[in-house]
Amino acid sequence: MVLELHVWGPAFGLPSIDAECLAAIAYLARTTSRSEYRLVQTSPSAVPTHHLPALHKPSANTWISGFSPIISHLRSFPSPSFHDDSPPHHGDSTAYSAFLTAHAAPLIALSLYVSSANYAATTRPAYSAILPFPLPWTEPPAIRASMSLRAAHLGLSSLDTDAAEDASIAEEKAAAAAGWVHIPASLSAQLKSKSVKDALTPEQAARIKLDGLAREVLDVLAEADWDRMVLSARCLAYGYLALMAVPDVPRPWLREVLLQGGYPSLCELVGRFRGPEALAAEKLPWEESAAHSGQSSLVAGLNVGARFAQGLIYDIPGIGEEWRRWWARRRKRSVRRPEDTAGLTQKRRDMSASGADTLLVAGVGMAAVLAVNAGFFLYRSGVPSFGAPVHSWQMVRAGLSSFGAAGAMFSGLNA
Amino acid sequence: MSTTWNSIPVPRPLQQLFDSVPLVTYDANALPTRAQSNTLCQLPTLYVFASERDARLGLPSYNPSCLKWQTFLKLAGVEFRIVPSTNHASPTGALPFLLPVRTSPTTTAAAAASSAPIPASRLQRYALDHGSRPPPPNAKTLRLDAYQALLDVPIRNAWLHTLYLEPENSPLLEKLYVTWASSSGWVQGTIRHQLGRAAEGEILKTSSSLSAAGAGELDEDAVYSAARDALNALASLLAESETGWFFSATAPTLFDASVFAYTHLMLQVLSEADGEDAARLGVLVGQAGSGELRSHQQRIYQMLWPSQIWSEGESQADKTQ
Amino acid sequence: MPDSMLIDSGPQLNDQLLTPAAISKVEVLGAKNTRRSLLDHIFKPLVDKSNTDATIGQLLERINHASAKLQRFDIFREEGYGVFISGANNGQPSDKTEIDVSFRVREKSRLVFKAGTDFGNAEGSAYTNAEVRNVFGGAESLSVNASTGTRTRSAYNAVFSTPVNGNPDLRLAVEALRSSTQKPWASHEEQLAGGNLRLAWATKHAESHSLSYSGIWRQLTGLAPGASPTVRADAGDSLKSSITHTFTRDRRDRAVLPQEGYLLRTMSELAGWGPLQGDVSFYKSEVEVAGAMPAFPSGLANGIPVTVGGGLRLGMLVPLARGFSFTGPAQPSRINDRFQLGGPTDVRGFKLGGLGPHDGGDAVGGDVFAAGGVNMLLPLPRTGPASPLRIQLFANGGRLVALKNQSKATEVSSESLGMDSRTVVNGLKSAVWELANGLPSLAAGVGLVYAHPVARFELNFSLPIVQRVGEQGRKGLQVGVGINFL
Repeated sequence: MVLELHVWGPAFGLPSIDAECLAAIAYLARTTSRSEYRLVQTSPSAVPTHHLPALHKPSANTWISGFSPIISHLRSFPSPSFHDDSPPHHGDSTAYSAFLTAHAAPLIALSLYVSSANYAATTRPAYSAILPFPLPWTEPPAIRASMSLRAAHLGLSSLDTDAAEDASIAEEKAAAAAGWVHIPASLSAQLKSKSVKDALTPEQAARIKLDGLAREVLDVLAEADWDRMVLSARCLAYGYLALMAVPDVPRPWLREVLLQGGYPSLCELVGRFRGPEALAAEKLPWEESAAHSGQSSLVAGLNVGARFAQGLIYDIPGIGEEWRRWWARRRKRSVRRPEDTAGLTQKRRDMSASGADTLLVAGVGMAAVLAVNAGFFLYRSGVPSFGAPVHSWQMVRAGLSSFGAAGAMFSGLNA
Repeated sequence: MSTTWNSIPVPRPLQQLFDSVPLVTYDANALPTRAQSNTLCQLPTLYVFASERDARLGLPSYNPSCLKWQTFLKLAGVEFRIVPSTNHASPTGALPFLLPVRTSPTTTAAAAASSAPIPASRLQRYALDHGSRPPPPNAKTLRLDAYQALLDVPIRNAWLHTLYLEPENSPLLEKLYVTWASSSGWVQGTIRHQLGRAAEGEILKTSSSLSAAGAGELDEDAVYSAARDALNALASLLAESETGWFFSATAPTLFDASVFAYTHLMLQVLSEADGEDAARLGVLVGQAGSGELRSHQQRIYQMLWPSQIWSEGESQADKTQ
Repeated sequence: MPDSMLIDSGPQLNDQLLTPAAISKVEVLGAKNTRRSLLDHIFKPLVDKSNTDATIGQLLERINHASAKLQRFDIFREEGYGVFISGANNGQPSDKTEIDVSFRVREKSRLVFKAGTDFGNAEGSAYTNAEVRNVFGGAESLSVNASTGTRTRSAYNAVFSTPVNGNPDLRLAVEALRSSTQKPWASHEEQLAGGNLRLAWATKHAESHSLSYSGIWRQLTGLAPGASPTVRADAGDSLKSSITHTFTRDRRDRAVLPQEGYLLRTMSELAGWGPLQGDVSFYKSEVEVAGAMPAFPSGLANGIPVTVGGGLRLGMLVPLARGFSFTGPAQPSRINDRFQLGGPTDVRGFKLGGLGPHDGGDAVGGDVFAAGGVNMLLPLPRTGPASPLRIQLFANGGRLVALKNQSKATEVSSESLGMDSRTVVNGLKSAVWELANGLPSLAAGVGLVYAHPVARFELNFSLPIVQRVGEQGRKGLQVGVGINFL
């Protein structure tokens, strides 16, 4: 039986750009042979669960996504494949895994996504290399947005100089348009670089805080006894730490703290996974995405086009969110999952809501069509007019004239 | 529109004139009815999510972070009363917060500022300063941070999912958070919708998904199995302890209060809802390890709400078994 | 039109006024966007059978009346408006004079965008407004506003209003609104969202009524760090569903600077009772009387326009039981329903909300109030009566009292806040009694008034004379901008 693991593609010399995908790849590489699984490079919009890593069992056509669901599914297979033989210390493993997702992920979000310099110089090009055209236009910005949400509680959005610059440019333009201030360009440049703080990059300005944040997290991780943890926890730690240590970014605060800040045990953990025998991207059982499903290039192109369109729709304010929700619910119904091994879900949701959903979507669609038509009509004919150039009222005549034409004739005779 | 010219110095004769008025000063006006019970009490007030009745009796709040601090303040021996409230009342936008006793009921704005509310982030300090039996500080181990992450992510997510997103629990959600706010269907509908979206957003924000997909992608099986693993991990941590409190502390600490806040609510509040899905989390708490979390919850409950345990606790405990 | 003439154009008509006449034809020229059904209401009566025994004089009066009514729709421009009367030339023999009437109108533009600044009571704001006049050709108007101000951080509303039965003096309006207002005197921000349906009608003699139903979701939020427990207890959501009637009789010569005349205004609101539902339930009533007169009979004081004026405002809020009960438990009033008193536009010499019960620094409002003031306006030396500047001497005062629940005042852990009807009545009685307990809180001062057509500006120097502990008087200068002053 061959399993397919769908993951984000390689970047920075690592097998994947995403921490959980890295961890899943490392887990498979450690617990089984190359012949038992394949790696498919993809992006979330191509898999039915919309989330990577995703494990696809072609024989039963089932999908599982997310690192820990994949691990618990793999553990249900008979030994020895997909099992690790390390002495289990489950409590700590679970706790440190949760700690990694709760605290290491926001650090990586800050370093690779929120920081404008790093994102532009390193992360975005990496995505461009692994995504088929034109998806680099839609997907990386969406990921960046969700990543900055993840790191929002750390209060360091100032690293995102793009947003700040946009705002200040807009402000300047608005001020110029209103005719309030006209600062000559030379002078305004001087004004801008006046204070010392402004001359620093945002990373330099926030360096102390960033170092503090990184140390808080790394101190906890360094204290843990990783050798006693289960393999999946070690793999997860590798996934996150590798993304801190490996990418060569222009503002390497996180990398510097990790490599030079006195965390040899953590560096060693990364080193062991990246060791000679394992996890070099070219040694992994990669599969060409288009070839694997036997699609012609035309179908593959159409697929990419559909994913691109989807990405564009998600970006429409207001509608995008609802569309995404609706689409996700639809897709969930169509995804077949393996029988629930955890036995947690005692019953399946009935989908009575789906009828209402369809009606809602149909209603919204109709309303949109009507609105467009009405708009077009108004555009063509202007605001409709209801009156007339001349309104007139005639006296209601008593007497002969009220007999109509005949009466009028008689009244004429009288004269 | 009124403007102040504080910067301009007042000439002396004018100052004398100002000092001589008002010529007559009477006693202060009495406060309105709704305000009277709030201003007469001589105890600090903890603002939490609770029903009017529970608040009067000082029973546990039904909100995990409120219950955490309520428990901790009680553990520390702080005398306080609780008042049902909403997030709108809070200086930080979230409950709980504590309002210290005022020096006098009607005073100047400056005096009011001196008794400014204490947000949750400073309650630990307050409890240590004002409590009659300050609990031992949290264990000085970084391992605690890792276990705290279990409460902050998988257990919190499961709680949010169960209460806010399970359609089966919507009557419970309405009872706890919605009908209390307003009797109007329009307002309730909006609040319910906002709560659902907010809960979903919170779960997605902390979940391990680096996906472009976002909303609507909640995998509930993953949420619950993560919670089960987390509860098991906590139970095994508790099993290591020699004293029965986490990290072998001599008395319950803030971490014990944080765990209790979730386990108590999962065992008690959720069991009030009908249906198996609703009680699922309570069952998970009971099954975690070999029942360590349940007995931990029972001990704290007995310690802090001794009169309640006989009337309600037993029957609730029976129900969930 | 060689023999056309304007109405009232000369004495040569006088001898003809009694001759019997009839209108043969009415024409309205230029109402390109106005529906005939609307104009029918005005012009049909001119040509129907009721005109058979009319004289020219009566007809002219009717034409005048129709013309005035047409203008009150506010859809035609003033310039280019004209009424022309000519002898009928229809070749029909008749025993009386027949005339043709022709109304020339120019419609106002139907789409109007405006932006500007505005002064309401004690607040300045900037707004943008888009209005569609005569939307469906029946003098309906749709107006959409967005504004932001010193206190109202943001406000949006949309109003659709239409005359009922072709009558410009009877209008029905539907409004949707959303706003967020800062209330620093009680350390909070109030957000409103809701709508109302209003029927307004005007009678002759400058009287107007309006009857409206409104459903508004109020959210008390954004509390200041030092907010008092009273304000904190009222934070959160509430829905007010109420019916309001207001009556105004304004017989003043100039609203912003009255020399003569009086104003009577009453407001009654019933919220939450009976089928109204909602979260709050009360009856609220307010009366305002204001008047002004020349201080000296004409001839004295060389015609110097010295005026004395006075005003009195009274209000009461009665908590009611929910549903159809009169005796059930009534919830005490919330801060956003209670009255506030004090400030540069009502009781001068006190801060905004400076009168009445205070909890810490917060004005928490009261359920019963009475406020009154007298002022004398003197012209500035060497200015004529037409000058918008005046010197003002004033004294004003008021009491704002909260309803107390005496039966339970000492019990902290009372079962609930509800009061039965007896408690409410007793509470109100003692609150009204309390109004007269001791002198009212008083302030007096002198100031400068500038009456701009848009608003009245005041710069006053005032001193509080009588005050209660906790009340916030204002010693020294105070600026007031508004339309309606006490």
